[in-house]
Amino acid sequence: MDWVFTDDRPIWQQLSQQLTRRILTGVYPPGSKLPPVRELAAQAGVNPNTMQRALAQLEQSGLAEANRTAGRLVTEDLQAIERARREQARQIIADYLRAMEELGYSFDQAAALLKEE
Amino acid sequence: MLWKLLKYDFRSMWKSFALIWPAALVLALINHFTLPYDEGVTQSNELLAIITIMAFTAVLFAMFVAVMIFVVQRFYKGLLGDEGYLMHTLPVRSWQLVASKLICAVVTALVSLAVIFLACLLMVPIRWGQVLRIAFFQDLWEGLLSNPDAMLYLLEFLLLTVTALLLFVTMTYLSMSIGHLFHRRIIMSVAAFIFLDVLGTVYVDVLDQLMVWDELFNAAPHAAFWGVFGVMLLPALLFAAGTVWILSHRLNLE
Amino acid sequence: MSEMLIESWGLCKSYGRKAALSGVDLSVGRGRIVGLLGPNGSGKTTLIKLLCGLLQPTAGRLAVAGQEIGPETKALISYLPDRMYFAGWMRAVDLLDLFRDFYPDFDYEKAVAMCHSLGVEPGHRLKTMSKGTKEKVQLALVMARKAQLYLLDEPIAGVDPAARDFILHTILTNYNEEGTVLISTHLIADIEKVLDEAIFLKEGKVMLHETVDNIREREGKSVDALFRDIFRAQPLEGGAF
Repeated sequence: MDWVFTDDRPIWQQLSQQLTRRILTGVYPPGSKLPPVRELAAQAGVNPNTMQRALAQLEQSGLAEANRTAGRLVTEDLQAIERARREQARQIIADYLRAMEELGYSFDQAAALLKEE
Repeated sequence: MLWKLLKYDFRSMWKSFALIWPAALVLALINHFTLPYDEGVTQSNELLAIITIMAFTAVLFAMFVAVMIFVVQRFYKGLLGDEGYLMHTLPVRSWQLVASKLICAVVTALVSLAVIFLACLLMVPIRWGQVLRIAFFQDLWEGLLSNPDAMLYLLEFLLLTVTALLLFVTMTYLSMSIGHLFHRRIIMSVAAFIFLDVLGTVYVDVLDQLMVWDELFNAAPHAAFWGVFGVMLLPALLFAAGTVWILSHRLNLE
Repeated sequence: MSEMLIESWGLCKSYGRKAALSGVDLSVGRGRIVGLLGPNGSGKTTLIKLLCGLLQPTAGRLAVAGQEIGPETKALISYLPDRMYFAGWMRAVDLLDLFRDFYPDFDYEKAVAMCHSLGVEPGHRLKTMSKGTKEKVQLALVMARKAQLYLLDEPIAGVDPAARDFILHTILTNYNEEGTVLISTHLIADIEKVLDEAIFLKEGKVMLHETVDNIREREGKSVDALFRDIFRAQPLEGGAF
């Protein structure tokens, strides 16, 4: 999975979103150890401070927890992961609806089209 | 820190002269065998002798040019050119940078003089078998003992040589440093050199007016030597100080 | 130890009549990667050279770690110039020795390893290397120091994308995290995601000094896009002549 950044938002937000996606898709499974900040930053080609901020955001949303001895672990709380998955799904749906609205479809039409496909 | 700087300046000296110094000595040795010192040398050797002596002269001339270029280049390129980006960002003081270049330049010139001296010894047909006898050194030693002045003269002569070199090199350095202050650096460096040279002539003239050197030399030759020494060392020190001041207060590498 | 790593007050530098910097007030903290951004001739290189003592200010004051520029600050700074600074006679190993002799924070083994990863034998003459290789050797030397302040002058100008990635990766994986990295460039898009802060220089003045996050959050666009807005060449306005 490549790290891709857009111009419109702070990089740390995009990083934290892409880290979340990696957790949801199992690249970093529940309970596994996340790579150290510096390594992650080098991987993504970003500033370590920015990566640190993204990871802090991840901790805040309960997807990761700092462990004094083992570094940073992905949470084992499956409910938290499920919540995050739902949150991402909601966002994708919102994006879809907004795009359809621009094309002139109503909410019901958009939903019907989705089912048809 | 000065020692560390010298280490690299001497490395660069060695890279520049590692070929030409031995070449001069080897050619001198060849000339030792080809030059027609004795009447009985056959005609066929004449051409060879001319070629070898010309080669030797050419190498000496090349060495002279190499020393001049070395003195100018190591300072100009090393401190005022692109290499200056490295040297001036080292955690050292400007006087150490200048001192290192200066010492290296003087030593280079001295070694070159020594090489020439040695080459001449190698070239002329001294019968080393006769010279290298205990008796010879005994004579030499006794001669020196009975005439202790000779050693002192030799020392003074060496000291004067070093001082003259110091004076010349510092004058070159200051000229380049002054040239560096202007937009057209090379022209202004040359102009500064000429100006300093004129200044030097005036300085010597004034001293001539003030003192009667001939009489001093006759009356107290050693004192006169030290006088000349001081007369040369003073401007050398001023030139060096001026160079350091410009490098530490007016450096503008562009 | 001073709170700020770089501080300047009313810093001015002119070459003859031409002003390169006019009244720069700046303070940069520790542990940051800072972009010094501006078009050519905006004063980026001048500021960096003043910081490492290759130029003397015309007016104003400048301090690194609370000290005037001198041997003490030079010991803290690791500087990558915008040109080659090797002497013709030098082999890579001569330069490595020199760095070890003069900078106590230089990691010799690390530099040798970096040279090897570049395919450079320390015994080779630098003169015989390609321009790109020479630049990489110079970068390896600079990044093998555990310096307080890295001054990198246009490290990615005129290199291909692969070399650019290599250079940025080398910087990110080797810099001392307690130190600050100041990178000057006019290629902002390439470097934006490694920056904490951006300093915009325009005609010798600081236009903007802000964190990259703040710029993106406030403007809703990248630093690169903002840069283009600010520095877009103004068409000639009527009555200018």
